[in-house]
Amino acid sequence: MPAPIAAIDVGTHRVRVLVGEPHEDGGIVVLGSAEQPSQGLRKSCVLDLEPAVAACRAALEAAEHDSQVDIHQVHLVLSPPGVECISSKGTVHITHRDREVQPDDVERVREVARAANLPPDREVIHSIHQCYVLDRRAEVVNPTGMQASQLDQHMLLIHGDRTLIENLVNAVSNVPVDVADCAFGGLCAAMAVLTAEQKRGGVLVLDLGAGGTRYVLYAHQKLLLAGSIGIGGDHVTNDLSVGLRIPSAAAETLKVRCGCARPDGRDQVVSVSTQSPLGERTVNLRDAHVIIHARLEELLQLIRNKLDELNVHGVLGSGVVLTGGSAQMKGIQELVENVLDLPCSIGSIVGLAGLPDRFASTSYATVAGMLKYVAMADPGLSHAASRAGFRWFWRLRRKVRS
Amino acid sequence: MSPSTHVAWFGVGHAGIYMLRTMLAGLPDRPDTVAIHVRDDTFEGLPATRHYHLRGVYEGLGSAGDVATVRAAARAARAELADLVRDYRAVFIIAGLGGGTGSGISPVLAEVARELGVFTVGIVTLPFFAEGTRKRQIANEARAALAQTCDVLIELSHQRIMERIPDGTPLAMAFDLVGSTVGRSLHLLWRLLSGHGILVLDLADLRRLVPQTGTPVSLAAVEAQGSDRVSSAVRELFSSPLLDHGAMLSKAPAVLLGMVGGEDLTLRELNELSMAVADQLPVESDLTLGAVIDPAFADRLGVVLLIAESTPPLATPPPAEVAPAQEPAAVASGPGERKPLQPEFEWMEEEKPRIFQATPTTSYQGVDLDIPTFLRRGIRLSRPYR
Repeated sequence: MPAPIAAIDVGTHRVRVLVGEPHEDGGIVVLGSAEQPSQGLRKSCVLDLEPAVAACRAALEAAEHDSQVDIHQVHLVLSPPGVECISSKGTVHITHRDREVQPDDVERVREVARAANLPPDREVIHSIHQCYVLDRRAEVVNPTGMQASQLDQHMLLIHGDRTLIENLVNAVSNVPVDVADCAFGGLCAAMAVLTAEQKRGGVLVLDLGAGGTRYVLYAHQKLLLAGSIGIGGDHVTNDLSVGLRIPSAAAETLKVRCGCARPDGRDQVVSVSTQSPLGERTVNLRDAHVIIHARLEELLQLIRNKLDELNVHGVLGSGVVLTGGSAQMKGIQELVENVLDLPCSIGSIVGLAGLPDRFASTSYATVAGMLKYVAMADPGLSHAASRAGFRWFWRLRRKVRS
Repeated sequence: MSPSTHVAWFGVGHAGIYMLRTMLAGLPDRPDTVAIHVRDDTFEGLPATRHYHLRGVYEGLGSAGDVATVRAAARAARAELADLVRDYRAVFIIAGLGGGTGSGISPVLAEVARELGVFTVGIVTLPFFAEGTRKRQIANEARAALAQTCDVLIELSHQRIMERIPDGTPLAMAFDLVGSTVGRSLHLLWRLLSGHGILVLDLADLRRLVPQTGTPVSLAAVEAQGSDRVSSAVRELFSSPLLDHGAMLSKAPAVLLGMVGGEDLTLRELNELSMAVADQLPVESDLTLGAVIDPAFADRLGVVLLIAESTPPLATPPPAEVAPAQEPAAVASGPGERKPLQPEFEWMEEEKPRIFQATPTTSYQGVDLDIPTFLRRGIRLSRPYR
């Protein structure tokens, strides 16, 4: 029986931990969970180390208590702003006399495809296999044993700002706990909610977090696009706070209780407690909805620009799936359908047994996806080493430990 | 050489041709006009000098709002478009953005003209809100393309003109009113630029108004009659939704003010009008005055105001020192959200939200997205912010 796995997502609003036990049949049983308000983070970036470490520690301790498992090692969800991707192609020539592709050719082409020329402040988080091509024509699943004179491998390299990543890893390491592995939050969210059928049909996952928005796009079962934008639910809250002249906390409450992304409602005056000597203030709900709509429409427009650049509109048969806290905003589905011109649904976590009800909401997709991501990896190898692009991670781990 | 011989007005697409038509109504000297469409039957009854039918789009049935197809057809016909503009020193391109034809052809036409060294003025309308997100996206894309290619881009928002239209106006009449408002404004503009002025305004003045390509220009035109025609024209101008109820004046770096009057126009009236406008402008603002006498304007007065926006081109960050101007809370006439004519960069430095200050700025094309969207878009709330 493999050992239990702990996944942690240090979000801008909340730190979430899930402890799960993978089973031989591929399923995962959740043993425990914990959630703590997050501190010292903004836009998914660590701004104040000490409170951030304390919040992580509190969440991990609560999870240990809940699951009755000692957590020595965690798998960390990375969701910094400004994550981007580039496609990369590796090419090797098959020089054996019989022109048969050998396992070491496959190994070689992977090394070539992974080698990316990125600026020194960027770090590759994942290098994800897309497809093999033989002699620039035939796309194959497994090239080993096939005849060809040239083998190409296409990969998508997902990369992020090195400082932002290191600071987050550092915060969790300071708990202290061993960070075994990291994965991009958008990819985790997709892992949690997508079925193979959706990936085949072509689907865009939008993870609408408090600190930022992650997007991941699959078509023909390949990952075609991944990245993040530093605009999230906190921007909506801040816009409301500025526009309606109410404190942030009151704006957050208003957003969660009465938020709506449809701008064409009726005038409706509600009173908002400011939790300050100002007492109660009245605001027009329609103003709130107009402000929310403007922010979210703009955000979706940015996503639309990315889709237009890639010209993938025709291949997204399964539409858009939303995860993250803002996926619970009223009217968001309609807005997504309008701006992106695609059918939209709210994601639900699949393939985890024993998930507490409160953890089944869209906000927990990333941490649940991380568990699935770890369980899917080859159990014979250490996860970090088994996954492409993580050599930097070992360096970082050594640095943090020393 | 009279100015009208080296200037041509292009009406592109259905809306463009409609505006051209209303503009031409009652003009004594016809400038060269060219109507461009993808459909044959739009041209009927249009007194344009030339008609150009762009082939290869849905077999001449219409554009179906398909910008990509129209744009591709226009690109393929670049040589023919170049022949249309080659002989002129300046072209005015009128189009309604948001549909297929105007949004598809006008950026290509402007690009061709610019490449030939022809002074290019784009005059475009932006769609009503009710026309939907898709149309707005198309319009925004075309407008951004035009901002890059036109020497001067004058924008008119349907939504803003609509504010003037009383509730309960029948739909057909409302659309007519909007179309004719734009047409009349262009009519007056052309009078000024082509007329035999006492105070001459010409294309060079128009060029001087816009120091940088891409700076948006707003246009408002009013007509008034009677003995107190100056004061009623001023009143109407300052409450014009196209000038943001006059708020736009208070931060305009450059203004072009033109008046068309009959032979009874007096110096006192000219003085009164220019003083009234100058009073609203910032001290350092550059006011250029033009006046034209036209016997047909006896007892009437036409005023045209062109304002260069204080904002630099869309792609660069806004200046920080722009003082916010409080405008009177307008009565909302349309749906809750109203996109302004141009983005109104009204915030001050400290409005960069403090909570995002230490984080990496999220920006797109030079715009700081951490600043609330509704502020950047100038959306008015029922209870004005600040």
